[in-house]
Amino acid sequence: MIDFNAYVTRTSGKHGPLVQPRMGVGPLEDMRDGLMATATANPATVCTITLDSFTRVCAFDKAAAALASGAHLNGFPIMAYPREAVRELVSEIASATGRPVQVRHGSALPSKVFQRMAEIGMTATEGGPVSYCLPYSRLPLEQAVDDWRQGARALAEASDISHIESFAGCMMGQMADPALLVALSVLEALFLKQCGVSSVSVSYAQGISPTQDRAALRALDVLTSHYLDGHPFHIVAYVFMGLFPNTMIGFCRITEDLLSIAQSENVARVIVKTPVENRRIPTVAENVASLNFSHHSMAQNTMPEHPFDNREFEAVLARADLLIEQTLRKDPDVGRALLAAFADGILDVPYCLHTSNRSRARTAIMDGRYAPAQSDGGSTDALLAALKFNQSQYDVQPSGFI
Amino acid sequence: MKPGVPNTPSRKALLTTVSSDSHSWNLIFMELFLAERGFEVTNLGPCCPTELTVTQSQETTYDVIVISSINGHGVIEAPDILNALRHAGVTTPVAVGGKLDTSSDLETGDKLAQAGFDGVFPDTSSTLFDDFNIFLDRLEACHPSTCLGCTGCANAAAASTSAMGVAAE
Ligand code: B12
Repeated sequence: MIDFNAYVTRTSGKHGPLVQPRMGVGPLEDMRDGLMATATANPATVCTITLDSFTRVCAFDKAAAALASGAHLNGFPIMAYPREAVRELVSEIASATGRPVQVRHGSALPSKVFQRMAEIGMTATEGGPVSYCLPYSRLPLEQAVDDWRQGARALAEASDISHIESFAGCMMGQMADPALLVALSVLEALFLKQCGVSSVSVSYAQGISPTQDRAALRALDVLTSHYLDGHPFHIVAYVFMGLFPNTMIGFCRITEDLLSIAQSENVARVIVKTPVENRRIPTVAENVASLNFSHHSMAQNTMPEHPFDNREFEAVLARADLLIEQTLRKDPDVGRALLAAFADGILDVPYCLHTSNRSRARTAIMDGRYAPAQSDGGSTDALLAALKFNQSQYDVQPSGFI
Repeated sequence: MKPGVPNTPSRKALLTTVSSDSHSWNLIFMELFLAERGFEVTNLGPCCPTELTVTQSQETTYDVIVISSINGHGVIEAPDILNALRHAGVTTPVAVGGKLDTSSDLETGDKLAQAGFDGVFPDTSSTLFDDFNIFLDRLEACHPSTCLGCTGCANAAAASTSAMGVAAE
């Protein structure tokens, strides 16, 4: 069994940030092809099994029925296959390529999937009680916190190399104050540590300003080191998780901006997208092309540089630290502290319709950066303009470009 | 308000999605879109259980039910919602739209139309919102006695049993 955190830390030390796809298909054979292709694409990849949406909401029977009927699932239905078949698949990848595989699932109630992972011998996954509830489910946050606590503890008991990545750096995919993303990531990492998970990763998704993103990644590093207090962790950065650019050049430019700051900051792993993100789930070949483009871009060192802005850093750091402190003050148990902070509106995810979230907070785009706001345009035009901000920035060619 | 369409601010729309789909920006967008066209919108939110869509549509009389889904499971799950609604005796026109499959299959639209949806709006179409606007306008302008049997029209079925009508204004 490969220790996910140790592998990522060691290998990224040699190659720079590792690259990882979001990849999951229904048929087992196709999943194997995808994992093999990822593992052999270049020396710096990490493999992913992304689960389908039925499995995410614990509709395991629907996943199995869809698979049996030949319908196309949007991910891999891990519960629909015999344990032995999935175990074989994962150990084949490990023994043939030495690459670890992370299960990505988006489930507010993860304990059944975690139990299955433990039975199969898988140790690395992602999520968190907030990041896999508010944007992924309509179940009350209490229920997610309970099931996450139980599931994470069980996973930790099953293996001494358990790893869970907090997905909180992504939340609604876009339009979130970077400080909130940083704070939630740190808080979920603390929750997972309390559950006994051996190592964690904290996430941050690219926003609309490389300067602000660089500052946020630095703040995430500083705050995680401080609050985790020696517990092993690494940082994972995501290429933009919102309404994605439409064009090939848009894909290249937005990806390079994120890779460039990932290289400059202490990022060990990057989740990349593909040029078809805006339209459909990528093929294996498109994923591999994107992994290789990203690895190659970082090796060439020809990407745009984005300077570190200390004022921006101090601002994100202070806002995020305040949110963390105010939350932790609520209760020594991080799960209960999170519940109390959401109930009080200390933590409030903009535009999230979940009933455990106040949803009073809004986000404005000011001087090309995200900023907390009280209200927004409130029209479809204003909403789409904000959601499409990165399309307007990246889909056009830079001036002077022939 | 468009000219020719009677000003009835009480037009009501029920906005929902399939039970496995947790995407919400599409719902936030569609809520605003429908409100801007004069609808009073009930937005049931992401991952909506089919039963909730059915009970809500029984509790209140809506002019239209709109299912928005983008996670690729729309083509699998949306027909079940429609069946449950019709089974429960709800006759409200139902539209479905968004990214409805994982393969951008051109047959998906036909498949859903055959399943009995009154309007199907896959976002692979370049005239998506023109078509949807026409669909919404027809909800009001069209009557069983005058329906042309257009796709995207709730009166088509009723009209087909009567003589071919004249164009709705
Ligand atoms: C943000 C996002 C997320 C966020 C969502 C946060 C949230 N709670 O909202 C997170 C990270 C949680 C997420 C999760 C997943 N996502 Co997602 N996500 C996106 C992303 C990047 C943007 C979606 C968005 O916000 N759009 C903004 C709204 C305003 O636009 P829209 O939804 O496209 O809707 C437009 C039209 O479709 C149309 N429309 C929509 N509905 C209707 C209805 C009618 C009647 C009409 C007329 C029009 C209409 O109107 C809108 C305006 O033009 C898209 C890719 C992209 N587009 O760039 C992927 C995408 C939608 N996700 C996808 C998938 C598969 C998933 C996951 C299953 C994970 C995975 N396998 O990758 C999970 C789903 C979990 C679940 N249970 O459903 C796929 C869907 C593929 C498909 N349909 O074939 C996409 C396309 C990415 C991809 N290329 O793989 N996602």
